[in-house]
Amino acid sequence: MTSVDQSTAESEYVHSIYSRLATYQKQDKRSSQTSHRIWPRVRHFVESLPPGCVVVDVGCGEAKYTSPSVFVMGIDACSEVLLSVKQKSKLDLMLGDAVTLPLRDGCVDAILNVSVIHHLSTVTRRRQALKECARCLRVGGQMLLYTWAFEQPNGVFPSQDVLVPWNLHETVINGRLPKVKFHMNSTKEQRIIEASIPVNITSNCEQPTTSSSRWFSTILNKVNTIKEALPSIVSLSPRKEGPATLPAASPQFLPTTKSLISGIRRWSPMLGRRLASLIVPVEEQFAEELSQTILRESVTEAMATLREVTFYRFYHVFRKGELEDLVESTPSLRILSSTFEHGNWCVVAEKVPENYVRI
Amino acid sequence: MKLLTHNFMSSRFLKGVNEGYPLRLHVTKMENRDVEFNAEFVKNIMSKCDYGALRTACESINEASKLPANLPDDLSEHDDILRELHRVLFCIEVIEGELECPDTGRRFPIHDSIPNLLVEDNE
Repeated sequence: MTSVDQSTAESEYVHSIYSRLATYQKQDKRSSQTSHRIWPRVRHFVESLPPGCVVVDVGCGEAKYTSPSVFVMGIDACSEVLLSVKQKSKLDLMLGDAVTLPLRDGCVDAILNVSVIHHLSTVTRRRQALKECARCLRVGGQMLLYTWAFEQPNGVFPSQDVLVPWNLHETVINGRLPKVKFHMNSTKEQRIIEASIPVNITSNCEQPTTSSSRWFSTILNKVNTIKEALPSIVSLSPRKEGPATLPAASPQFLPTTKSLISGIRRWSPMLGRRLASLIVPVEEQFAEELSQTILRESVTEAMATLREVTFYRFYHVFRKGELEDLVESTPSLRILSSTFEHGNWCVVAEKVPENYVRI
Repeated sequence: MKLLTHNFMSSRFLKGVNEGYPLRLHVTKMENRDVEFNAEFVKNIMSKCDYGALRTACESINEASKLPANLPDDLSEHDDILRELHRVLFCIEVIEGELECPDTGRRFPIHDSIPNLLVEDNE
């Protein structure tokens, strides 16, 4: 199975992909209705809260769940998505991390955590995200959790940690109908599950993990994998074992120039950069990489409307009981209900006092 | 960003910060919005707010002149105070500015009325 670094899985296959997808969605408001499901249960949860409640929507995206009788604070890591949200008087937005919520302790009445923690790459981070919600909730406050399930009615995931394709050519863009091929024997859902790529999450800590160096090394990784990645994106055959190299999170259409000393960079980006900076100043290297990235992304965007394009997003899909175990292992949370809904696990939990004794 | 949201925000996620509250508010651009007044809603919301932090935030943008030093026990009997609280909590919209961590001085920008609390992993 192919390995992905834990931070790359989230920065490359979650955050940057959502930013890219947000720009497509902005072009056409109607597409947001078709591509993002509104969960009736979530809406009901928000609407049945007493008037004057303070609600936090973690990973709010387009902040779909609002109500005139409660105040919602939407937190998301993607600025492109937040900027596209229409302002409302009972809604406020902030850029923040689901694993470190920028809120004081015990201040909120309810938390939505819908389709968020299945994008976190390790169990430590998923647990940390729940701990943060529990910290911000007041005692007696409730939270609603949704995660994608491993057990699917319409297919079998190859693994719990997967890169799931997002077929842009099956989505409405700019009001144009999707370029769907007619599939006789499968649904869109079956196809994306079937085409998911199993990955193995690793924690590579030998490199410094500031965002800028991560950003730099992910670009380098991309450059190195493009050649191998291209054929695997084009091929439509189902993969059970996964390709030797991963596809880029978004496809690349331009050939890339070789970096100065790519051979060295491959085994140590830090050393490579230091050596390269003897020849070209670091600023110039960054500038060159950045302009190439911008050019590549705009070409990808243009191609997306013309032919089949597939983005990949990282998911950790939850097995039966896994979400409950995660909630139960958070000291101050107690499960109120647990259900399976359209391929998702859904848990409602309540914050209990510290001296609470589990029965 | 509304002052109501500011009342819940903290920079305690920064390394070495335990409280991080309240964040200092620096505003370069703000607007006043028309929002329908609902006394019951304001009363309920106030039970979750830290009034000291709200008043300090209002002082920093010169909007505290009509706010009492301490809130009366039963707000229901003070319609004027509820209306003023409604104004500062919901009508004032901070468009551009900064939030500052009281412990470290780390500043977080507010652009297009969205505060950015994202930090690097090592912060």
